[in-house]
Amino acid sequence: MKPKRILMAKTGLDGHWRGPTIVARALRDAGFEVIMIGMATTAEIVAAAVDEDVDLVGLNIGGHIDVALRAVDAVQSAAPEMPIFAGGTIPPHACKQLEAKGLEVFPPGSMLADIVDSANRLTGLSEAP
Amino acid sequence: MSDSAGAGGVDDFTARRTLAKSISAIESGGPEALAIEQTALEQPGSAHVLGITGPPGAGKSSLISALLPHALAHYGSVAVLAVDPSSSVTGGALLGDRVRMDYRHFDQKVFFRSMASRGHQGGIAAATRASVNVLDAAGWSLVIIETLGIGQVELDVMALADRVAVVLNPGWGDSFQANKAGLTEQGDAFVLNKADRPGLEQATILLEQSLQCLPTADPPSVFPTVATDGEGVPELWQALARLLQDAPRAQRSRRRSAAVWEGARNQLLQDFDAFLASPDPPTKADSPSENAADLLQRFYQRQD
Amino acid sequence: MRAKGPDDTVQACSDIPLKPYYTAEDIPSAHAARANQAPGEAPYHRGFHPSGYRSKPWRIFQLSGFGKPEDENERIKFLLKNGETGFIMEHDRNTADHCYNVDHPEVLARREDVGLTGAVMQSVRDTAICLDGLPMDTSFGHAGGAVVQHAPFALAAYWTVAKQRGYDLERLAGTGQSDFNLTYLGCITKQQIPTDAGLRFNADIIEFCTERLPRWVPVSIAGYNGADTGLTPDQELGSLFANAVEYLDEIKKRGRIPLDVAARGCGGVSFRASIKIFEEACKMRAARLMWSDLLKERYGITDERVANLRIHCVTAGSKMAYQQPMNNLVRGALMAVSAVLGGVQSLGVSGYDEALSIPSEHAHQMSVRIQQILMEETGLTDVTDPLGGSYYVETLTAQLVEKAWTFFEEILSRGGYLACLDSGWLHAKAEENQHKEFMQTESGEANIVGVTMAHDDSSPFEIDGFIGSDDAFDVALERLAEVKRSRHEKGAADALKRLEQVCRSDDNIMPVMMDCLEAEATLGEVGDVYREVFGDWRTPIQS
Ligand SMILES: Nc1nc2c(ncn2[C@@H]2O[C@H](COP(=O)(O)OP(=O)(O)OP(=O)(O)O)[C@@H](O)[C@H]2O)c(=O)[nH]1
Ligand SMILES: [Mg+2]
Repeated sequence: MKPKRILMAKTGLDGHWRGPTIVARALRDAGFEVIMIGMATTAEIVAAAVDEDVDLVGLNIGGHIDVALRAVDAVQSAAPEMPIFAGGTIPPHACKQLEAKGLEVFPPGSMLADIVDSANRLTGLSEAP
Repeated sequence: MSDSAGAGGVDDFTARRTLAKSISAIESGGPEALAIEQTALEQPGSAHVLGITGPPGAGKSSLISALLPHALAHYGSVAVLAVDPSSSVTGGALLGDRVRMDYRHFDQKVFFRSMASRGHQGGIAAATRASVNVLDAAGWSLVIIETLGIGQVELDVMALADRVAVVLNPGWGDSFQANKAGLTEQGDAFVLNKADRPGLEQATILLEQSLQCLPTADPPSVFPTVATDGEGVPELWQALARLLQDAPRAQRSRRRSAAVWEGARNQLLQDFDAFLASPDPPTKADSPSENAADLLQRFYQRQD
Repeated sequence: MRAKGPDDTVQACSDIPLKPYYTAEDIPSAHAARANQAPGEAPYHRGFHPSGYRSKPWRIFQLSGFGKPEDENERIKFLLKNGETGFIMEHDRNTADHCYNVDHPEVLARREDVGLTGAVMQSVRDTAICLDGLPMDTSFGHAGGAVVQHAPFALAAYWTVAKQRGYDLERLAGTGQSDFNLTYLGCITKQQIPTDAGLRFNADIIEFCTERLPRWVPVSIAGYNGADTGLTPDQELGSLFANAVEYLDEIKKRGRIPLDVAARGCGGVSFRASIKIFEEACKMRAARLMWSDLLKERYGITDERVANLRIHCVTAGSKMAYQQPMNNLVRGALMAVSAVLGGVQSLGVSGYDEALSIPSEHAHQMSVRIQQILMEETGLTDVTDPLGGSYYVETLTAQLVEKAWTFFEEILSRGGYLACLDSGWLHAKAEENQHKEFMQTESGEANIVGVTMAHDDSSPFEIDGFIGSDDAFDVALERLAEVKRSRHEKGAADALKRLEQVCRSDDNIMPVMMDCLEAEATLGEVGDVYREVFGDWRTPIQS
């Protein structure tokens, strides 16, 4: 089975690496190829998602939801079928906005097992429950 | 961000996506991969291919980032294939080479692709060669291959690249002793990156000494660099550009031959597997070697 | 809670096995005599002042800020009115941490983020707005400048405003942190000066304060930022003192100011107060003891006043849960208890909405109220070092000291604290611990109430994240243009030119930084000089 590829990016300039690093490690251990790009602008995220032809984009969101929404819109318009999931310090109102765009969202306190499940599902490795 | 024509146009997501998807298909392997590569080889191509190799953490990615503006000025478009290791246990990988890139140069014609080795030995991925051929056909004029950080000297990149730069650091004396015979023969240029670290002088002397021992009239040069602040990078680029310009043009046909051979080998293996799976009882002799010889003989008879 | 059997081990965070109970025999013999000492006796693990909180309550000191400078000003005034006894300015991370102006492409790409976590202060005019009407002369002020490369600018801005208001710098009390852990270990910025340049900045600040601002705490090493990134309490201690050694060795090498004065300046530190109450209280006790021993043994300093380690504590932000956020009021209170039992001098309690956003006004008020309740109602302030002499606490204190010194020595053997940041060794340690901690909750070995158990999907107390103001970016952009339009352009250009020259020399950077602020040079222009002269730190990890 060909490994699935996930792009991991941070939308903000806030450099917390605790969460994203642990998630990346868990995804790798679950057999994914995880492409790290660190803090990236919308344009950089889209270019990376396209060039890398990933099966899933993971956004770590630390700041204002509008910055993240812009990245989501840009990825969805460049690659409409590419699923996205998001994690980070995302208050409830922002979670709802992201979910409305079809994202799965993992706020603080989410379990790694759930994040890995979601990656499996979103990349078609497992069926939706 | 205006130029969207042809290879690498930043706005041209369609062309980029097609290219990226071709590489994914190549990574998946099988007949489709070969077909894509063969179609690519029917196109004219003239890309130069530069290999960057060296031990883990030597600064290969940082150096590529520092070389990019020079390479772009010279070639107009640059594609990078950066290979990192896959875990042999889970098959997963953390591909971190992009983190070192300075994205200020990415609004030009840069295509960057991270590749997991997926168990392939020799410092590159199984899909690297075909990807180079596809990028060449798509009009990318320079392709840079970053091998995974290897300690061993089995450099498949030699067979792909027109020129190979070996990146080392000051203060690596011991591993150098172990490897020097192999490494020195494989590089067209040697980079002592992290030249801001102690031990540069000694490393330069050691390295130059061993390069002098090579059986060539014109041993490769050594370039000190600090990839992270650009020191020594213009000089290195000048040398690389010249080396690429003067490179013998045999590599493209080698990449083509390799593709043909791989096609043939795959076909052969497929046929052989089919033969083994056939109901014909394959074995009667007692000794394994006779057994194998017997098998092969009957296989070839069957093919005729 | 799952009952434990005889074979189950129980461990402190610092990887120290805990016994079911302790007796006098457990106290390591080397520490036994110290356990019997009184507060006020070296090495001060029991506290520096025998009268403890009776004579001097801790300072209620809350991180505060967002939006425009006037938004931050308003919040600080609100906190002071509610009982805060010092104030902290918080700067916008996008601009301040990176020394960018708001028109930098990296900031433009994220304009809505601007002002989300602190006010934008690009010139001394902004700082003056933020400080409007604040008691700079009578209060202990924190000028922000938590980030090493930002500190000289932030401090000079604060001091310039003070001068404009006619205050005597000699009498000004406050701090500015300038902490390596924050952006070289915990929250790594996109771009910052290399660690050696940072060390030079901090030594310059220490020298400048020694000469010009004797009451100022020039730098404040923040163990907090190491701990909240994953360092265990013993590692938090060990790395903090390894960091202090970098400063003191540098000051000693320069030989421009007396070492004991510099040491006194380095003795204002901050720690994280986390949720394991006894271990955290022991950590504060261990810290005082270690500082006293370090000064004596490494530098021959025995002056009591120098050995008085002053500790600011912040409760662990990462322990605040996203789910059922009201539970965090309890967590905040208990973490504050651990700090108070450890005898700290200054305390900030994270907001109950910490996992969702920066604190709302109400969350901030509650952080102050928690401290007031502890101070006024609980009797925690009645007796100095109330845990002193406990078999368990003395044993754990001694064990922490020992483990911390081991970690300290390991860092020194790897070239020192800064070398361990450059190589990524400290990051690897932190990541290892984080991963372990994560796996413990993941596997059910450790529980977090409201997160891994006691779920309640219909919590009536659900809150949403606080959003500050939405015009911080626009206003900052306007004000930036206004400063550039109305300042004396040649004066600013000259000051920046001299800054560049000083950066390239060995001279102290602070006098010329004061000139820059006076000439209304802006943050991004100063950052451009740094980028030109010092280049970028080579981030050792892939984040
Ligand atoms: N001091 C110094 N550090 C450097 C230099 N070049 C790279 N580095 C640092 O070395 C580390 C590794 O750099 P990379 O560019 O990722 O090295 P690499 O060879 O691509 O690493 P792998 O792909 O993992 O094998 C990073 O922390 C860089 O910042 C240099 O010239 N001087
Ligand atoms: Mg690399």
